[in-house]
Amino acid sequence: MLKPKVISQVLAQVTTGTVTAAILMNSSGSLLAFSAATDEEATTYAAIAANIWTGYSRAGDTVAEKAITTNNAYNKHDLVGKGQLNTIIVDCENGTLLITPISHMLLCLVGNPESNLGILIAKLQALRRHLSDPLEKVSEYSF
Amino acid sequence: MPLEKLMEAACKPYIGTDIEATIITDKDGIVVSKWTSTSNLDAILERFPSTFAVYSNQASASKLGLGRNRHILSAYEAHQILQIDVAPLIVTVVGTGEANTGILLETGAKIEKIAQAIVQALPQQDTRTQPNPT
Repeated sequence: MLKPKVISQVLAQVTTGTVTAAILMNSSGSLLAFSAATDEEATTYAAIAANIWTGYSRAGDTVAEKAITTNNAYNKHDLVGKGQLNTIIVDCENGTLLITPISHMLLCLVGNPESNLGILIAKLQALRRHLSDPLEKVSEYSF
Repeated sequence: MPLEKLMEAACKPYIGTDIEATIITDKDGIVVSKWTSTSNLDAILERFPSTFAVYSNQASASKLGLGRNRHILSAYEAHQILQIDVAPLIVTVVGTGEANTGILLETGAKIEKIAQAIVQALPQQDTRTQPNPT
């Protein structure tokens, strides 16, 4: 069985240095586990990150469908669509938000303005690798 | 030098390996200037500027608490799409899926400077009420 408390502890391991929050959520933005300064902050990040993810995912789907219809053929070059979105980086004046999928869920990291993009991506990928296997096992029950 | 040539010059070291297209549009996706190495990217270049306008605005104006949104980079299997807010314009840089993200960001910064020059040349919108001539 999946223990949310343990996932929170794993997420807490990356919220050091310039990383201020790590959040695991479903695609509609509902929280599964998080490590952040406040509950409110985590809820807000999750809601907005999920919304941005859905929007860009849909845009990719639309482009892929249009490309396949126009070319009347499946072209690797136009593979922007379904299931193909790997990462989104939202860079703001006071911080950076990274979003990536794990199984049917989304993982979001937030860095402060001093954070380097490279370390944020490295932490995101490390978390993704670490959590993907156990989350894959429960994905059939999820959401 | 025409805008398209300036944009091509900014991408030149990475054409064919990392960068595939750059486009400057307004928030509705109306093209101001466009350079592309292939015609296959038209669907991306039409759809993504308006997507960015919506979500960039949401990230900036919402309770995200991270200040104004500067750029959004979306990495797909076959393409990476960098979009930069140069209000009221949007810069979009399309790279290959395997492209170096740092190169994309560097090229984006060069195109951003071109877009800023266009913004400075645009007439400022006067929102003051005009006096009644009568």
